[in-house]
Amino acid sequence: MRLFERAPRAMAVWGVYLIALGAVLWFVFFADALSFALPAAAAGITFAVAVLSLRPERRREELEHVTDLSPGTPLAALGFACALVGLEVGEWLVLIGAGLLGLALGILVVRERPG
Amino acid sequence: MDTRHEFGDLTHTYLPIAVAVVVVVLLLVVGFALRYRARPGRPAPSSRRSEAPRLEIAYVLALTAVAAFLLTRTFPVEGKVDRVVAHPGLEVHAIAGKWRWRFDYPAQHRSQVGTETAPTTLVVPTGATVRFTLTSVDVIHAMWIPGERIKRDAFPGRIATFDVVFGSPGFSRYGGECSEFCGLGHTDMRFSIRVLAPAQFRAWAGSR
Amino acid sequence: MSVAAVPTMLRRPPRLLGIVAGTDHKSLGLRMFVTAFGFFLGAGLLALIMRLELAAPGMQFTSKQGYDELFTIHGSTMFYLFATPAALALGVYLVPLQIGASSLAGARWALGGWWLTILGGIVMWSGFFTARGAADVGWYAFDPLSDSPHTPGVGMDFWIFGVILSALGAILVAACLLATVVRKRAPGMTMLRIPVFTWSMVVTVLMVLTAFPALVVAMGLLYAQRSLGGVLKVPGGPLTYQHLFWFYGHPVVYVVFFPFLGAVAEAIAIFSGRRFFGYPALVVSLLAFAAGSMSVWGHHMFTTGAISNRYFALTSTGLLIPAGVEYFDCLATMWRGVIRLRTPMLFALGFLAMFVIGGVTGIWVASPPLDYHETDSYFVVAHFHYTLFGGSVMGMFCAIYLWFPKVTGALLREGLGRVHFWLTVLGLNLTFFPMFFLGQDGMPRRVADYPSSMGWEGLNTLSTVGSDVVALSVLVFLVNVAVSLTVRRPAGPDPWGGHTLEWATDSPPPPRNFRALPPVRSYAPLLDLAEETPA
Repeated sequence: MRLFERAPRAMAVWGVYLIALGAVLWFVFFADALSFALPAAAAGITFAVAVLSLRPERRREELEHVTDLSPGTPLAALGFACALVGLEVGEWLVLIGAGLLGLALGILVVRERPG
Repeated sequence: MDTRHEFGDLTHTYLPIAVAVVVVVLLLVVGFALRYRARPGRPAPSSRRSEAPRLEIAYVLALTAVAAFLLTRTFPVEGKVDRVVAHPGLEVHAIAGKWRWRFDYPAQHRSQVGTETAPTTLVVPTGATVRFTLTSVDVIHAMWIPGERIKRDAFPGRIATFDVVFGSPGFSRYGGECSEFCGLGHTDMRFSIRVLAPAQFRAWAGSR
Repeated sequence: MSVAAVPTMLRRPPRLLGIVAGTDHKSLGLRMFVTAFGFFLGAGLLALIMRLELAAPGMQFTSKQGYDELFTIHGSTMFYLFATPAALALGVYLVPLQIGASSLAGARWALGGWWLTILGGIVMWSGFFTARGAADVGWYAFDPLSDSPHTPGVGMDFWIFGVILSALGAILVAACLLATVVRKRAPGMTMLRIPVFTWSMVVTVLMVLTAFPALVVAMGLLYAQRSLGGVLKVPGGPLTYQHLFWFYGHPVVYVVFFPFLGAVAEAIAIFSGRRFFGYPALVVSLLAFAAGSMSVWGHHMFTTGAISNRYFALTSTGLLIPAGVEYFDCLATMWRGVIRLRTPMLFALGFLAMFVIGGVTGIWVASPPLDYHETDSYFVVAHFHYTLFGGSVMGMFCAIYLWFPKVTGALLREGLGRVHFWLTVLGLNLTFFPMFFLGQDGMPRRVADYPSSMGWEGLNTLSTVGSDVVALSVLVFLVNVAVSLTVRRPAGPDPWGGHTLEWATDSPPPPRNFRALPPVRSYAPLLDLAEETPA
């Protein structure tokens, strides 16, 4: 059980298990490359997340920048969605989406500045 | 391969286990809920035990044995159902297309095609191994013969090969169906199945 | 902690702006859950229309085209817009509380994820208002049927965009949840002391992060094929799409299952008055279950003849091992407990009793020769509705009854809750049990009609009646919520005798969640305290 005491290790173990299952598929059951590539890619993401989680934990939470309101975020989501849907609807919507996205990023950056 | 028979055999293994598991779980859930229900005389749980590693390991081994048992029954049946014989009694090329079936009999130089109102009829002899080579001309369909408990996907550009032995003669109540959703006409993409005694089938094949 | 809490409380945002842009994890989790539940009601309504159509042979209420759109949007909404977001919403609300954190890590990203999901839903459903209607190819949209020659029209493209947006949304929320567990645990809260529900969320978000990208890739390829062509037209293109789709499509059924299993486990421990039994076994089995469920996608492709059926039969049948461990742990927790049959516990027990039917039929269709008959038939429809409705939705209602007092500060009515529970059990069995027989007898799924000569009318009518009972049960639930919020019965911080940290703070919790944290020495810190102080 010690293995699971730390989050990155637990994730790494999980990733190794995914690879092992994929390897059985590949070597014992002679599957196609894609069938092995899928779990391998999933394990790759897991390892990447595990490595990211290795960074020392920030204990002093009170120093974290706290925002309880983020108007830029829904705007960014709206911009992204408009740009995506615009691919079918028309260029004008892509442009509106891009504009909203730019505006949203601007708001996010301004609000992010401390003070 | 008598797929209906193989399916039935495997069912005889799986069904009792499935029913037993459901019944046991239901009994335990209801039984525990009643047996250990809070009553004035029982203020605190009579056990604070929260782990039993050895018991759980033994239980995992038992579950593994169940899984292994099921697989030892499944694999041979799968092998039999999937195997295609070297010399089938009849070859049928099944072609699926939106939303109709066509059955070609290359050796007999016959082809079965339906009309707007009447579905295609698959005519096969009883007792013989019928080799289907199945494909599609457009989207993915699936050829399902519920009476024989068998189904295969029909991909465009791919050929699926499988053997079926049909049982008793007559028109099958079930017929056959497309079971992979294929668009507007999916609901009506059915075919009839007529199983003939070998002599009758030879007569039908020769009749053109 | 108190330093930051002051300005937070002083800057109360305007109400509407708070709903749109607030990042407090409790408000966000609640908003996510409410929108997901809205999609549940919408998709349920579509199901009722389908059941009406199928009650008798012949086309009565819809056209075939309309029926195809109904089941496509029903399934798509349930998976992409209801079940996944609802499961994650529970995590967004509860995970910080359960691990003693004051906020969600990267809450703005989670807020963005919620909006992407909502926008995805709007885009997907707006397909109904396009010239050729909404997407009509099923929730897995196999190529080449979903390609533009076979399914022209912008409704299908909108469906693809909707799926992409909701998948990206889920990935963002999942990343925030994982970061929260990794970074924000209270002092003493080691990974082996986080509550059972939080562990269920950890494995859930791991699956979201590793499986959902495959869906985004599949959708990207499908869109490119539709607009440019030549992408999936290569030999094996349709198979590649299926691999990518099911690599997402099987794990997702566990994404919408584990969190509710976690909720059920918490309810069983609380209402049995006992520490959850076999915590280490549950943790290992959850991780094994999740990895296993990432390795079984091929069982959706048994009849393609293009994959190694034996491997996927092996891995799929093997899932009975972790599932069996979880049942063992839940039942062992009840053993010798003091069981209070309050509404959350009823739904938890209903979950155990109903999911097992979906579970054993799952092992049934994990056997290729049995699956050759059952796949794409109503047998499979029955099977997965027992897992998704008998399992996930039952578990969701367990979670709602359990945590509603925490979220709103008011208790739900017990009487209405019991009526809701029994109607749910009755309705779901009436609806879905007949489908096993229909499928076994040869009724394919996704048909708008069936020949009257097959004799399927009786069972179909029964199923339709059952669906109306389910609808009634949901109405009772909505009335319960309305009544309980209007004439409030205050819940207090801990109405049930909870084991985990969320019960150690006010209902609803204040901004920043806790004024003071109790010591954490196990996965049931409040039970530790209760057992230390002699009664």
